[in-house]
Amino acid sequence: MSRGGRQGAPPGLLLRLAARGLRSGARQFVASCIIGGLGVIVLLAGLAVLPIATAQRDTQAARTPQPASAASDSGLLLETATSAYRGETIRGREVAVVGGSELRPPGLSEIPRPGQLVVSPALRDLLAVDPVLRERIPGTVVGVIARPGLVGPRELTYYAGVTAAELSADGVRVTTAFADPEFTDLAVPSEVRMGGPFISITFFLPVFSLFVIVALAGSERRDRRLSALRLVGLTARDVRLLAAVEAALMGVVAAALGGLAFVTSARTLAPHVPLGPGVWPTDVEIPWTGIVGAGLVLPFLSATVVDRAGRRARSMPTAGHAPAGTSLRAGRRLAVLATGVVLMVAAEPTRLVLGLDPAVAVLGLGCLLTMIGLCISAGPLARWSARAVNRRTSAVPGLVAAAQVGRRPDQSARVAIGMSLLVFVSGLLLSFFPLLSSSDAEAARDLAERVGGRAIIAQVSSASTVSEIAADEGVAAVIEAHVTGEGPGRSTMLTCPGIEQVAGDCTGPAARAVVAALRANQVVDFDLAPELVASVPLATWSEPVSQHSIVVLPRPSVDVEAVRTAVLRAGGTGEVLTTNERREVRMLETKVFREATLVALVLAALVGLASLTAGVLDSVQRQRRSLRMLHVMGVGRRDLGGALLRQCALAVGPTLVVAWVSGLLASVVFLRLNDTSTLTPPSTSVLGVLAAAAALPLIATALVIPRLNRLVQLRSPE
Amino acid sequence: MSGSADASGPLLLEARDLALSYGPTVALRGVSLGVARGEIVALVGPSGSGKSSLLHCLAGLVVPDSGNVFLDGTEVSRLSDDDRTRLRRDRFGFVLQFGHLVPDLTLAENVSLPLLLRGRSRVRALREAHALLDELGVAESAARCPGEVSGGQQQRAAVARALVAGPEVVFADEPTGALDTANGDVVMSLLTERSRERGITVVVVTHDHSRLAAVDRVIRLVDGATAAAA
Ligand SMILES: Nc1ncnc2c1ncn2[C@@H]1O[C@H](COP(=O)(O)OP(=O)(O)OP(=O)(O)O)[C@@H](O)[C@H]1O
Ligand SMILES: [Mg+2]
Repeated sequence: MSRGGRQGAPPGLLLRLAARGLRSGARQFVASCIIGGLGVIVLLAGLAVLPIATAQRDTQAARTPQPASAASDSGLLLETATSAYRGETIRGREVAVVGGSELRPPGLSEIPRPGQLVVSPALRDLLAVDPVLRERIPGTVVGVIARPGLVGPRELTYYAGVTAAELSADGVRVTTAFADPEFTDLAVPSEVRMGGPFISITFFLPVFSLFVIVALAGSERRDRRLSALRLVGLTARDVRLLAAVEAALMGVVAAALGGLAFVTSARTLAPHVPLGPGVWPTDVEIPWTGIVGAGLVLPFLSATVVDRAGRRARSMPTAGHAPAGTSLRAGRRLAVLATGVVLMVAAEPTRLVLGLDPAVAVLGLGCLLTMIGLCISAGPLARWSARAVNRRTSAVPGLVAAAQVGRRPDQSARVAIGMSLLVFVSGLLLSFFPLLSSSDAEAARDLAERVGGRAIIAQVSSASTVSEIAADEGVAAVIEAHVTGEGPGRSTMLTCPGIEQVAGDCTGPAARAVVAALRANQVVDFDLAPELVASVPLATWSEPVSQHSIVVLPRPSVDVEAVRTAVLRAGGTGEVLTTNERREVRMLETKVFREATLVALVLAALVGLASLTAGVLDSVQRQRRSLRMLHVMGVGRRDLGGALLRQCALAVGPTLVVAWVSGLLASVVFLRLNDTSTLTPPSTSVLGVLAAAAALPLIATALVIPRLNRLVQLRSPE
Repeated sequence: MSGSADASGPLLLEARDLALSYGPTVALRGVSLGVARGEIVALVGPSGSGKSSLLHCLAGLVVPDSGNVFLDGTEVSRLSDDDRTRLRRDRFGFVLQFGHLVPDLTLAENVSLPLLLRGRSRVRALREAHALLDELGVAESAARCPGEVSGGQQQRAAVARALVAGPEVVFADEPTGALDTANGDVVMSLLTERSRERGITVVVVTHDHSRLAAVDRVIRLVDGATAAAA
């Protein structure tokens, strides 16, 4: 104490020691920084999603035509003709100028004249190489749609010039403005909004738990080094500070790495995002607050975690083994979990008494508590399972595993946390699927099932169009129905000339039934619920009905694309899609969300695997002496691997099962709150996630086996 | 106590011309020796002379670069890894310098491991382990984990673990190296006496010449080769 009674070591020395410590654990430091950096990237990407979705929705709103409320003699006539090509939706608009209007849709400097096209860059490239598509969308390309008219860089869309007379005949109203202030069509569905945070959690939590695991990996070596420093005379405070500084440094570097990577590459990579039409670089907002936040929170978190984990070891100058088997306060921890579950269950009664909003809040709180409960209960659950096994087994691998997990439940169960959160959240995430696929998409699927996936649906406005389509050699039959889009009802199919000849070619029970009935009665009641409604008797066909929906059945041997081209050329408009495509378009709003969810799940599973592997690796490293001794004593390598696998399973298994059950519960409650009690919760998909999660310990152990083999090799230095 | 590298009786364990190097470092250069059944042999020599390396070769832990090791006429150095593992499990016992007990198992459980490995039931294995720990004077610590007992007690448990299943040979690498003189004496005499009672062959590496009184023969290694005993 030559420094005037001052207790701590000189800061310079501490810094030097910290730097030395980082150098000796360089590999682990680098790994933590990279993983932490990945977590930050994921977080920032999550933060960027909503601005991107908003920007895309704004673009869509801005190009939505506003038909004039009163009759107007100046403006644009616009009619949609959406089609699909090789799985990509092509959004087309026929356009004609009325009264010399100066109105232009966003992204267009000139309105194409009849026979001319203005196309998106992606469609231009496709037209240049694809003659089939050129035949489908005939005309000379005279211009390219600019950025303001496109949702994403890969969007396939065009404006085709036609005469005003053609469109007026279809009863199209004059558009006097673009931009829909109350744009709801294709807007981010509310379920997706709710799902957003869950996706971020799915992404972020496992990455964060991996960061923690890696930050704590090699803690044994660090604790040994730190307690050696204590022996040399550093105070407990010095040593704590040292550990915290090292960990905080790790967090700072991780945040800086992640932030830097995102800032430099997000905009470059945006157009290549494999979701929907891609993302405009300018739609990507750099979430600076997120970067700064991560830079502050991550160092703090890692310092705290490392400090807490090493406290006991550092408080004693002789590290040895921390006395294990101390109380876990299992009761308190499980109480949190139980409270979460009870709250989730209470959500439904809450709705009956207080209404939906409080019920959603209760469910949210329940989920949050359940997730916290899962994190802190992993230890007690692992210890119970270890004790149960310990009482039964007399096989050495099982015994060793149970002893390790039983004595160090928290340490062992750490690897389970990320994965159990993943399983829990996936229950919720996957329950969005049945919810989203209800309504519209469900009806579209129904139609596809009734008339076959290859049948093309289109809008027509005259009987001559129908005749022209029916005359095409690829067409087996044309069925007409009036679509109003409301409630279930009846619809009547009208036939085309020549039904007698085509009857034999029709395949599929539904098509055959329609044709047979038509031949007998000429009028068929055929309820394509809930979309195809209203009865249009054959006799009314001659009257001019402004828009009819027709279902075109292609001959079995004919390419659908050829038939579609015939329909479009004959004057079919609207969504000229096969029933399968139509179904997909109906699900388009949810498609990006589904894809994002699946990507999230896969990524999270990979991260879960990585964290599990890191955990097993760390535990092998910690137990290397006893593992080696067991091998010396005649325990084969396979049995040592078995011991590791059992350890992993004991630590992860019970928490995973609890997470699965509570995740399903959350999903059931969620679906009930959304009045979709008829939908079954996604138990099979979640079971799949559970199975995948259960397979992860196997894979992680297998990945660690080479390291184990090297460790028990007696020729390698200790 | 003789200093020859060959035993007088029929050989249980025999090494012929063992050579072993770790990269450029030569650990053994042509060592031959024989150990008779029931004999207690000490390996001595300066640090780095190859004592541990020789012990590892004899025990089938390491395959020598050249030369052969025979146990009862079986060539150990020819066996597969699995077979050598089985051999160690069924016929050998080990004591290492720091005990290397499994930290999460109690002393009794640690001692019962070799019995469990040979298929004994849990209850019987624990009973036998307790009995032996009692005999070695650590009964009161049997239910504690290695981290909660002294180094001497750990090492006595390690001796118990080596002996409990009645092996043919016990290999001990500086079993008293980490202990003070008094504790070292106790552990060494427990090892030699109990082995002699049971007719177990012992190969023990030691630094401490004061412990050589209890052994039948001393083999001295210098620079990876046998030398005349001191
Ligand atoms: N795993 C290894 N890798 C490289 N060299 C090794 C290894 N193990 C031993 N050596 C070298 O082989 C030689 C013999 O080592 P060995 O451990 O057999 O000696 P020893 O007589 O047991 O020494 P000590 O009394 O110090 O334990 C030494 O030079 C040592 O440095
Ligand atoms: Mg040695």
